[in-house]
Amino acid sequence: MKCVAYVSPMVPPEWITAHGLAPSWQQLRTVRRDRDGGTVRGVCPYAAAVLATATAESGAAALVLTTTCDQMRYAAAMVERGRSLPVFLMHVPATWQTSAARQLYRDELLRLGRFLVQIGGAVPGAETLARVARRYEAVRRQVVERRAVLGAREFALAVAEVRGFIDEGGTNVRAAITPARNISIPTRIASEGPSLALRVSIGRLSCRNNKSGNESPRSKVRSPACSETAQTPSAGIPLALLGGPLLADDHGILDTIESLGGRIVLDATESGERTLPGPLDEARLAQDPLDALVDAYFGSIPDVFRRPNTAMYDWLGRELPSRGVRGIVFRRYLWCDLWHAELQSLREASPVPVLDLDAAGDEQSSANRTLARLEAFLEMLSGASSLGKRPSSIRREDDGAAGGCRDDACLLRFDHRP
Amino acid sequence: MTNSACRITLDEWDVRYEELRSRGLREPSYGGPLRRHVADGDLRLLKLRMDNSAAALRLWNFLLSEEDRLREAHAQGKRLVGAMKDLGTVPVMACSLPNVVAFCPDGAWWIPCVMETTSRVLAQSDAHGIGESFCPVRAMLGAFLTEDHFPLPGLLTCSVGATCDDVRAIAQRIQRLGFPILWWEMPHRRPPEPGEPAVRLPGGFSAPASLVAMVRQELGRVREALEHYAGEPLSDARLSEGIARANAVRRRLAELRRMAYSARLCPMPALEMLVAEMLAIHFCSDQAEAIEVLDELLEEVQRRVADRVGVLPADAVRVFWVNPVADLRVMNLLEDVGGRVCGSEYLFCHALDPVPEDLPPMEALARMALADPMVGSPADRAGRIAGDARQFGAEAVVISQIPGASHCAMEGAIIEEIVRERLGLPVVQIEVPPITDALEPTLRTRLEAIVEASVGRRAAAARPGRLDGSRR
Repeated sequence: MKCVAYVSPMVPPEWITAHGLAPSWQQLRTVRRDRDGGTVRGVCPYAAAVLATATAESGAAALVLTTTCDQMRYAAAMVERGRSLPVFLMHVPATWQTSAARQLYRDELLRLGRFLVQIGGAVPGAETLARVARRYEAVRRQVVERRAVLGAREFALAVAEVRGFIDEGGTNVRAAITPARNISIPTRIASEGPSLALRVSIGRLSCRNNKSGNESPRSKVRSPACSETAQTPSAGIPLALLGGPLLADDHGILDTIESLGGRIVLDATESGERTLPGPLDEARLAQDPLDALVDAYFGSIPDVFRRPNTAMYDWLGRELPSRGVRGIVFRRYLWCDLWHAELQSLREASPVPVLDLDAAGDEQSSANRTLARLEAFLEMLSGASSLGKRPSSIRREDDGAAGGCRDDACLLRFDHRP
Repeated sequence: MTNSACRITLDEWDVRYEELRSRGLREPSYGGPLRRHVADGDLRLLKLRMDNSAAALRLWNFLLSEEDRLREAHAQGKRLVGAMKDLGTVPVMACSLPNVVAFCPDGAWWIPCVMETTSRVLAQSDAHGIGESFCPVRAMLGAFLTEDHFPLPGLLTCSVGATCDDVRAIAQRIQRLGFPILWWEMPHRRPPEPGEPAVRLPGGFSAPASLVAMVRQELGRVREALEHYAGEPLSDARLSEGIARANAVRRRLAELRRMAYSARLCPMPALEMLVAEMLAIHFCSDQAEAIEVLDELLEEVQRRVADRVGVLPADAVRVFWVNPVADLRVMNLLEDVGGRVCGSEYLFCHALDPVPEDLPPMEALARMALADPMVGSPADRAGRIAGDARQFGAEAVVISQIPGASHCAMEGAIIEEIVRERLGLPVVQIEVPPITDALEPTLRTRLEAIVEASVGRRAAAARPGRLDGSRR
């Protein structure tokens, strides 16, 4: 089975699977100057990672990118110029208020479908699509239900798994949602045959087999320190992690937060649960499964690129209090305008302190700087807990006067700037 | 003071102005000596060399009085529309209504250059979370907050989708600060699939008919908003008249570009040509006056071409310029080192192409909007640049990067590669911040290098029996 690499949560993996191809959600490796030949000034580390890996030898039959950010749009042109891999650029409308925008998204899915057929896929019947969509939703539900018992890294990886190929029984993902402390998945997954070849690949744009068959992607990235220091999921100061997609190397930040006494209870990164599709409408699924997918993805995912992006704030407004979040770790890539511009709006709207972490890719000092900032943030939150302040709902832009913040939020403000 | 065409400093313009007045110079209401703009804070004028014609004087005065014009229109009760990330579509629609004046708040990106340190816009932008990692268009946020540079528009539109991240991010910030925005979708222009109904766009690109229909629908929302705001209908007849007026501007610009860029002797400096081309976007808030300004400029160029008069040496190297410069001074710099602009793509070549007048107006506008070079593949844009550079006989191409702009880092590489492949011309990329004084030696060196390389190629081509290397 050919695999199709992609990096945007606005691309439904069900759609690729229904075409008889294997979606491969990419967890890319940070581009390093010494190893990969350097990055270009002005290119965000994530786009650089896409470029670096898409041009390398790859087992993928094609790469799907979206227009959700300008840099990715230009990255698609770069990959296309390089001709190393067929690339499909899908326009995902930034506006969402009109039926025209929704129709354009649907049209783009149909166009993607034609592309998938060109590279060897088969046109799916409605029943096939509905069956695949139900399978994905069932597995997603299982993953979300296990959130409370998984560590942050395990949960992040499990979310990544549900964006990949899910076989008939969902067995390849079920393994990923086993709590980390009692997993012994490598050999079991290795015995499950073809699905292993289609698993999320970490650190490279690839769908190749794990030749040794004795090491899971998860075990590759999990640091020894992590397994020794990670707390049980129920302990620690509850935090949200908000921002763009994580690179494979970035999962260390989840371990770091846990080792410092924090706990990510809300992974609101682009690769996290925030961008999982909404629930499928069963009636619509039976009637028009593609339309059901459009609703679940285009109609439900709150993201920073949307205009206006009020849905993201609404989502945070619901999720922050319901998870008891006491601080937001805001992680943005250098040169990512969309997230960077949101920082101050978030600070003004957030009922809890916001820590800004910029990720510069291969900057040598960034790890130490990040560690120091996280330490200070968590120490501050430990102290703040004695003030007895409770998180309240997030402000939307139409809640009142521009700028500023409510008194309770200001008292807890952690205006941490470089 | 000489009567021949040349570039002169502001000090020299003081003398020149009196000289022109003594000869009976007739000026519009916004006329006057350029020096007065320095008193208003436009300090960059002190470092520029400008064309010495009365036509150029009018052009500069027209440009630098836009803020006054907007305030006057506002005071007269006219409806102000701010069209963001829209290089030439919504202004054409808005100007079809008699009581509406449109302008581009993104045009504030030149404020930090023109006013140097006297403007508060960047400080305000910084204070509201939009720092220097963003493109200079961040000045727009400061302009909204200070209200120093334009009255707040009653209707604000912004195109999003296949557009730059800087403007869409900053516009979102503007909205959160309390300025409502009508967002309209601009889809990525993709090539039609085999067998898919396609449409030829102004300028030569093509697009699927379905995308044109989508844009038409989006512009329909803008039309409704304009009607609601203006309190009167924006009929097809009015739109057609508005398109015809926009085309009147575009025709003049096309002729101006053709004459100025193809003449053996450069009849008009790059700086004035850049300012003139910018008029196509929103007519500097006065469409009728923009036509008058361009007419006078065109007459001056025609006269100079007929008289075989130029502002630069005859052997100036012909350079095709890509992207607008954040610091106007750099256009002088190219000419100071022996170059001349012989063609340009300042991000809005579609705003220079005539809007089709033989189509229903909304269809014509949708096609024009989709012809924006920035909404398609950068390879498309590079192709058009290569074609135009060949047509104007360019000897070199300068790609001027905009610091912090989301599209520049990768786009520049693609354009450079394609231009080299197709034309074999020397290409240089430079980055131009709003104030280049500290960088001038570096910029000068890079521009000198490409000029010298072009002169070398010219000499090699002239020697019989030698490979000129001009084409690969």
